[in-house]
Amino acid sequence: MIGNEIILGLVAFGVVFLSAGLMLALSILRAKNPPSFRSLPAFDRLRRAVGRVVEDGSRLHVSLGRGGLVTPQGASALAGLSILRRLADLTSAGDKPPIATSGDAALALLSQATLQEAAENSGQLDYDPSAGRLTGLTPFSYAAGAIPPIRDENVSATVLMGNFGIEAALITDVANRSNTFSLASSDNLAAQAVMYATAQETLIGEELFAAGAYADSGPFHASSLTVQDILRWLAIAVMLGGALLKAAGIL
Amino acid sequence: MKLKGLFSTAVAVLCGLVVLAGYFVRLDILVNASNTLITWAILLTAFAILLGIINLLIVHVGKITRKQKGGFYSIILIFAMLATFAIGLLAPHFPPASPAFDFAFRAVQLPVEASLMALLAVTLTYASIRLPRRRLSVFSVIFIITGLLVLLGTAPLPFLGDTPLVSDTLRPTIAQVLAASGARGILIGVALGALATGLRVLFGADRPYGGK
Amino acid sequence: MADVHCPMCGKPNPEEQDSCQFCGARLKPLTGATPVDSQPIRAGEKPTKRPTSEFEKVKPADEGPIHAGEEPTRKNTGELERSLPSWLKSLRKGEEPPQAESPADASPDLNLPAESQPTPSAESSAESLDWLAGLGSAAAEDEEEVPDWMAGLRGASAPGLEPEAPTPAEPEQAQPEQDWMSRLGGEAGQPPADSPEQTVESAPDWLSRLSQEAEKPQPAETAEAPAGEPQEEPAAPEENLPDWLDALKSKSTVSEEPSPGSGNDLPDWLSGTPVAPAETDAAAAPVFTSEPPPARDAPTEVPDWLSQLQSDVRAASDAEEQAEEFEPAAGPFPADKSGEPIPDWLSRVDQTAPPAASAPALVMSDEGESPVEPSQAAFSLETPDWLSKLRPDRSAETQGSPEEEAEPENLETADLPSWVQAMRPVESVISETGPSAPDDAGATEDSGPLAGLRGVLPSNPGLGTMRKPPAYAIKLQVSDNQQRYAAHLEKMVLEEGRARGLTPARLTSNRVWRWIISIILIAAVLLPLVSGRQFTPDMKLLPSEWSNTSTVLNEFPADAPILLVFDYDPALSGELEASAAPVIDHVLFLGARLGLVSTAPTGPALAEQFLESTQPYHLETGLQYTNLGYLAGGPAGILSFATDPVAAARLTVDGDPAWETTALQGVSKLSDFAAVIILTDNADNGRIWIEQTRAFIGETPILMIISAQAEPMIRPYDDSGQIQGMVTGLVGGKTYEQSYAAPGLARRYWDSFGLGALAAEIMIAVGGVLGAIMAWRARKQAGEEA
Repeated sequence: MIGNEIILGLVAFGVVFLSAGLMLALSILRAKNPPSFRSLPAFDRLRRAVGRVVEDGSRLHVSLGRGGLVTPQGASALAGLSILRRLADLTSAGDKPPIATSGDAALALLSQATLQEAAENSGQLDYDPSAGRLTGLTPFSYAAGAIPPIRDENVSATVLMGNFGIEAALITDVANRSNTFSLASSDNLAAQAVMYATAQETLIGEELFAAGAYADSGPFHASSLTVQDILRWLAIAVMLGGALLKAAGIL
Repeated sequence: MKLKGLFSTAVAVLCGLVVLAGYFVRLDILVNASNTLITWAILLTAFAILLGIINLLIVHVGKITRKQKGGFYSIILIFAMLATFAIGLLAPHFPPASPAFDFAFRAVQLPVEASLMALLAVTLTYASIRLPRRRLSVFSVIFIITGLLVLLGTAPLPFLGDTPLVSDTLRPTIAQVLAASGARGILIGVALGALATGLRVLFGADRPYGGK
Repeated sequence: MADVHCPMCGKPNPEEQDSCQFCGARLKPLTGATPVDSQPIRAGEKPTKRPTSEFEKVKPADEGPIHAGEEPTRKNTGELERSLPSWLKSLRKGEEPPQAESPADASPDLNLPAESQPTPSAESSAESLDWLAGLGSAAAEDEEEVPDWMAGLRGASAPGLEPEAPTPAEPEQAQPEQDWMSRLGGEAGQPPADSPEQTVESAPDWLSRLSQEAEKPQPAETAEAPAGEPQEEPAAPEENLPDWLDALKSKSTVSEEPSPGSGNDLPDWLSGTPVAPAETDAAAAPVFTSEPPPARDAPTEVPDWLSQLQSDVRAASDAEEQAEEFEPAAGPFPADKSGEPIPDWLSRVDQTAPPAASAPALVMSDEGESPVEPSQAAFSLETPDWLSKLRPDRSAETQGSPEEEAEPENLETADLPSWVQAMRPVESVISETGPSAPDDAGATEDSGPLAGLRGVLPSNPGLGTMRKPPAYAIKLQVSDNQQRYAAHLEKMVLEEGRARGLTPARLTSNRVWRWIISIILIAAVLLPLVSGRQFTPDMKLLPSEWSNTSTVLNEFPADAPILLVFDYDPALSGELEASAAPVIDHVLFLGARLGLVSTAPTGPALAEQFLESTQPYHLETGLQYTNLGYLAGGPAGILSFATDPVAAARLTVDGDPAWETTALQGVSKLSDFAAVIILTDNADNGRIWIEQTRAFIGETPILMIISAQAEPMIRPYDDSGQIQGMVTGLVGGKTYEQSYAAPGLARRYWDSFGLGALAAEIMIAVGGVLGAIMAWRARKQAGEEA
């Protein structure tokens, strides 16, 4: 039992080390040769929505979910913060800075830091600390708190990116009723199901983590996407091999 | 990169590496260091809740002072927040305040959130009805049919109870084979994405803590 | 071949076309044959004689609005009488009431028919008091009543002119007209020889000049006509006067006021035409007589304006080669002609000087005439294609600042056809002698120096219809590119409007459908609860996992410590309580002690709520449980608790030492618990508990009571044996309740759950099919349209 734990730990460490090496190498290569991604309609529409935000002087709302940074859902929260930073840069030419709502306190603080940094980089001196908000500590209170900005603060695009549950349907539904564009993604399967039914565009599965690469956030994002593909094929091979070995009675 | 950003990036990368190493390499020094850092993270998270609540208070005070739309609800929120906060502080030391704290939860938060959940049932029903009209595709049709079959196989029919073929065959197959396998695949992909995201943070490519 | 641009649509037409091939508008005026004398008259040259016989021959035109470029029609200008300044009327009526009633007075001087209005004799002319005649006689008395600006205007209009005594009326009344007629005749080839002392007071300036030109050569004919006799045909009312004539009246009056009865105050160009101060309007009638004026010596001096006029006319004639220029005046003009031949000089005047009916064209030009550059505006004969000059930007500029509002007058004037501008000598004089007529005239002035005066400014209501419609000018000024841009803009605006228009309808529709769905679902859920009837039978197909859970629980020793994890949200408490109630009831019946913990802030309160609402019996009988409260940190908190629960949760929610309570006696680590039962609605939370406690839980079984939405993710852990039992959703709770407990919460929910789910299924199925059909139809229709 202990031996298996050690073996599993070593395998996991090897995977992490391999991934890190690949990412580092590919990021250097990608810096010279930017990759081309398959078309995702959700990101195409997000680009248009961001352009419309800048054009008509409306506001972008990014909801980061409730993924705590010390939880497994923290990865989706970090992905949301990454896309928040990129979108804040893109909309810095607009009249109004984006709003970030979150259901985790630490995530709210990080969203404030992200928006402040984006504002400083774009030369905006009047950064509003209330742009990064904690709207609730329970899923439905968070969703209820994220709804008023969509309705009251001239939001024309809502991006849900992070860890959400089924309560995300309330947010996307209000976005639809307010005739605002909604792009939703979550690492939660139940949330993905309701998002598929309620949001205008949905990212399924690991597409959430590809958002940074599609938003041109840098070579590391592109290389991390390539690493994901490599690891996915590796996982497929391992599963198929394990199934064959199991069927053969070896395992 | 500014010195502040460089310092924060170095601290974040170092802490991440220590926790990661402590998870895989069970050396006492690494495990202790990892646990210590995790404990600090927990404390910071708890303190962040307080900051978040203050942020929430500032946002709604701003809405009131700027006379924005919904300012009346902000007044109610602030009043309820301060009252609950006061009762919560008093409850451990002043026993009569404890029932008030329970009452606030059971009479306000619990029914409100349950009502939102009930509202979600209406929302999802309406969204399912609208889905073929809004996004007519093969996947949408599969989505609707699957949802109907699972619902039909889960809920009993009036006067009939279980639905033949659906309750005993289709529904378990969908939930335990198709959905479970799909969920596993998706979760593996999510895990890989989470790994890549974590590595980006460790490399300092993503710095949500600032310094970019 | 040069193209002629249509004055209506602005499109080019062949030069030989009489009417526009695009819109049918006449390109050339009906009157005006090819000028006999095609030599232009330039400034300083002697005026030439023009044939004016055609002027009398043309039929009157209707009285519709006259547009630029159209043939002018004669207007009944009698209505202009109303626009006379009150002080002028008072002069006429108050000081010379008898004369005001005279036919000659009633007949407007400008619209006098050539035949119907007899040529006034010297006496009758002197007695028939026109408003100008009255002015001439009474100007001295009204001197104090004249506003200051008019006084200044006087000085400006006739600077340096010494007021002279009025010339004797009778003998000299016709003489001035003869003088200027002789000058006009001189235009035909004789040098003008008029004396500059001659004045004109009773007739409008330009008409007076014309009449003078006509009378000078034929003093006998003018004398033959009885001035005081009633006219053969009633004169046209003065309301029909074009506004430019109206303005002319008032301005000429103003300019003449300083010199009571004297023509010395007239402008230079009129100073050479002495007119008796009591000269009636009828004095102008000879202008339109068909009798040919006798030849007379032309004045030796030609006024500048007249020289320019003739040169302009000549240039216009040469440039445009229009055979017809004006349709002669209609209406008040008698249809019958005297039959007497019109002398050549008068025929030429017909081509040059417009009849009264041609005034509307001047009205338009008056609006846009520049008071600053009358010569440039009126005599720009080098550009017969006046439409090509009309540019939208100019019209746009006119709507700018007030300072710029004077500019469009310049611009419009400059854009008028040269042959029209050539007909307006009076306008040139007006612009030189006094302020230009404002556009918004026509009402009694209630402020400023003109306060109390009405009609001082050319604003006769009857003239409003004669003004060029603004839309007409805009249409002409818009180029093809601008029209295309405007069409694009209009399309964009319309699209914007459509999008916003659809939004409320959609929202309204959504709201209605939501209400319908809500009512149906609520009715389906409430029906079993209200009726108390049981609509659905008990389950026959029991899930397989319930037996594993019950087996694990049955193996517990009595008084075993159980750890209950409340990791669900308040929103899902209904489902989780119904699922967990029979299981916990089973556990408590076995005598277990409970330790409660949660990684959600609301968990501790939910735990208390759960026990109080679902386990009242066990609470009353001495249930032993300890609420450890909230574990912060998520997975880290779970890991910390799994590693050392005593250190992770030292106190209860009440602040007491947790591990010294009865419920947790003998428990110091996670593996000391007999079982860990996790209540969660989130698969991630369940997964975290499984993964984080694996290394510390030992042989302690993990049971899960989960929401139905978490089943696909948790089931693999059950299948793989990482958890020892699982109860899923309401179905699992009902199964457990049906097997091991008395009917409780799950049974109460069961009927409502079944009916509500059935209602939702029907709505989704029907609505989905209809929506799919509609979407398919819409897509098909869109494909066909594409």
